[in-house]
Amino acid sequence: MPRILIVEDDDHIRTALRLMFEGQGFDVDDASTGEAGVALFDRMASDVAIIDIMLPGMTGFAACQALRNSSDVPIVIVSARDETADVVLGLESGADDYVTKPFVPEELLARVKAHLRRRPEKSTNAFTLGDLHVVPDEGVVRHGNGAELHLTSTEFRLLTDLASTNGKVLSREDLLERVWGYDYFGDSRLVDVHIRRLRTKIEPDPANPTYLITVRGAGYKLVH
Amino acid sequence: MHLRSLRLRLLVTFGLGALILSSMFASVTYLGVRHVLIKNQQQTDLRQSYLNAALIRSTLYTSPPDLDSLLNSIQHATSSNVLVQTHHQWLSESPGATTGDVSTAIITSVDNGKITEQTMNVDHRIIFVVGVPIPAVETQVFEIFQLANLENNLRVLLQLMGVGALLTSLIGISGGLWVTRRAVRPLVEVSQAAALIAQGKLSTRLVVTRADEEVQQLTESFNAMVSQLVERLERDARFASDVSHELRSPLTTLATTASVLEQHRDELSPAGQESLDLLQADLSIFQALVEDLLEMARSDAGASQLVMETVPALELVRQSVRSGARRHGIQEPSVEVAEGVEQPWVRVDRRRFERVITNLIDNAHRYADGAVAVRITHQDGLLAINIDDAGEGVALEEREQVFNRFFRGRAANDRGIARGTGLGLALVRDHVQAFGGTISVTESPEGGARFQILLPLIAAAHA
Amino acid sequence: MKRLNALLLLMLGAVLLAGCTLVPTANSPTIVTKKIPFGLLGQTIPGTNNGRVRFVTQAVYIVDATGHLAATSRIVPSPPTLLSVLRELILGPTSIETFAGYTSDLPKNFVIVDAVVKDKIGYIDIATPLSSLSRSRQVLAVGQLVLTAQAPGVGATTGVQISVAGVLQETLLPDGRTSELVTANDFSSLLNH
Repeated sequence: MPRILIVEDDDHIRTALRLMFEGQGFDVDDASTGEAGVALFDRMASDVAIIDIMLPGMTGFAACQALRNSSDVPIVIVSARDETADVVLGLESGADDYVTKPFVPEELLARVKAHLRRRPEKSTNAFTLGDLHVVPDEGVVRHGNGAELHLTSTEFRLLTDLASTNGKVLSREDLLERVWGYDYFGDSRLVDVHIRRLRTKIEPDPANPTYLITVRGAGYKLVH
Repeated sequence: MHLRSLRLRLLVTFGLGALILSSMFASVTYLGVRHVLIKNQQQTDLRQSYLNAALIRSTLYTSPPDLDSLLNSIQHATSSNVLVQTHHQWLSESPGATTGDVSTAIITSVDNGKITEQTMNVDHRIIFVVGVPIPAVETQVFEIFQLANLENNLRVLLQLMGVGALLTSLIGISGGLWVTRRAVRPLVEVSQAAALIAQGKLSTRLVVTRADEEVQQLTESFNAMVSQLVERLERDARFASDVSHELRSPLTTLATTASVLEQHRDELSPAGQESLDLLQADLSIFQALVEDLLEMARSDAGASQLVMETVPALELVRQSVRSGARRHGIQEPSVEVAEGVEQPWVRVDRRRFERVITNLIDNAHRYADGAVAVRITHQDGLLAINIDDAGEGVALEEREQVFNRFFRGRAANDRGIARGTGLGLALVRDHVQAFGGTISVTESPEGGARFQILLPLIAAAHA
Repeated sequence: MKRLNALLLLMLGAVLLAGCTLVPTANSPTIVTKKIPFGLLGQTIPGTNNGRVRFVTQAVYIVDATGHLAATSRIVPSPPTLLSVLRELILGPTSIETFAGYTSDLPKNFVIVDAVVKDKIGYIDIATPLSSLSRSRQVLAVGQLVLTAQAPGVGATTGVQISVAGVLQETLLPDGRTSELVTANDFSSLLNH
């Protein structure tokens, strides 16, 4: 039974979500503030978290960051606003995905399930990017000195997916489908922000990438 | 005479006004001068008559035979003719005098012992006749003065006045031109500014210069009005946005709880299940409406929200068609690219473009059993993306209105299928226009409706 | 619109008025009422001792179309003197009289040196003799002189004596006689009866 943390200050929504996920076989922990949510997460070791951006006190962004600092579990942020700035900030804070209110509950459900399901592409061989050694089988990335580089499952999946094409260009839509598992209308901003986060982690100079290349108008490709 | 142009009216008024005024002035001046000149001349002539009469009197008293030579010398000296009458017979006349010039009327009056004067027009000559009775010598003296000289002077004066009036009129007209231009310019500026604002350039304001007070007032009022209007517009846009915003949370609850109910469908009675169906159906409309409203409000707020990218059109269309169809769970129409269309690039906001395609496919699905095909061609140097269906098409008179917000056409009323939010096509038009393109609806080859998007092509070099 | 029409009419009227150069033709005579100098309307001439001049109509005799003497009138200052009357005579017929066929047999260059009435006799002194004229003419010419001189008012009731340059003449009469003193009766045969 997967464990889900719901951090939402609106009582009705929180209750409705609890009902829905429990009905789908989840163990639900819920909190109405960021601080309570973070504390609950630590104690309960949830498998996935849903966090509303608009929280009193500690913001959703801050809560997201706190969670991300201690874990790689998928985090979906819920926002009342669709502004690019908010989305980017949310994703930069460590979220794997975002939905805007009012969301289609089935969609949220599907996304959460997809994130839980995701496992790195095992068929890919290990490869190196400069100092970094990527081992898809184990799901880890190591520095030359053996220290592990922390990637979220989404980031890892993104990296290995691009690697598996042997330098072929993948469009945003392709990546959305393969990495996030969306066969419906997704948001390419998800891809863009995650690419950016990846670059900061693996590129020697994130501003001038040598591994993760943008192909204008087409998508992205990995050069190794 | 109903002149529609203010400029022309002002000009005519000025010109006519100047003409009338100067003519009247000239006339009055002329008449005045003429009157004075004539009066003076008559006074002078009268005095001369008296003098001559006195001379004649003394001549008749002292040496009557010298009368003739006296009259002769008078005529030589003053070029006026003198006739002397006594006992109703002409006693003597200066040479060249015509007795016919002396009318019976004046003779009668002088016979009555009154000094009489008379102005007459004889053969286009103006003459001034003065009759003086001299009772002491039982005679009547008539002196005839030619006013030819005076006439000439007056004619010259009249000509001068005429020229003056004309000149004044011309000056008046040029003055009118200048004033007209000055007066009308603010109006032209205002109408231009108004046109710009109507087009949507809401930042247009009139420039406040140190102009006439009235113009300055107009400028300030206009600017204030525009600012207020803009503020109102923004408030309205914000309001729509705020309302939709506020609806988010309750809607989320509704949707989620409906979902939960759906999970427990089996526990419901048939009535409960049917109610749940209705609930979910209208809830999805409600959600779609709120989303569309929000999108609309965002669109109204301005194009600053757009993220424009230069993208290859064909791939974007294909992906949009695929995701759009899947999103609504409808069959994907085929994408047909016409011959000769090679690697077209367009500059759009991706998400909005995908929305456009999705809305059009959804529209075709609702009203025409789905889109038959999405056909891409070149047209007039632009990229044409045609979404064709095999339905009943859009009636000719509705082809403009169909893009209006909440427009319900014939097709919508005829079919009993699930209604759209009413904003789908309006959003499509707003987005397409934001991309610098146009959208229209005509007939598809299958006899249904063809929604055609025309977008400007970006040369590959700029991509 | 009405205002414009009125204005245009006014303008037209003003222009028309100005078009005529002077006051319209044939206005009736106006009486001058201002002060009249020189005492022109006085019954006597100022600066004189009640001086005045009167005119009388006096008969003068000219020759009609049939060759007879005929009387016409002339205006002369009153009281008529022989000289003033004769002066009018030698001026000849007026243009109207000439048109009607009247003439004067007195020669063109006829000059009267002097003419006075003394003791009821008229003495006429002429410059050149009338003998140069034909007999019939001479007689008519003299007749003109005598009848004119003896017309009532002049005062030469007794008779007329003609002299040439002071030399008393024997005046030729219609019947052929001559006489120094002649009267109008002597020439009555020449009148047109």
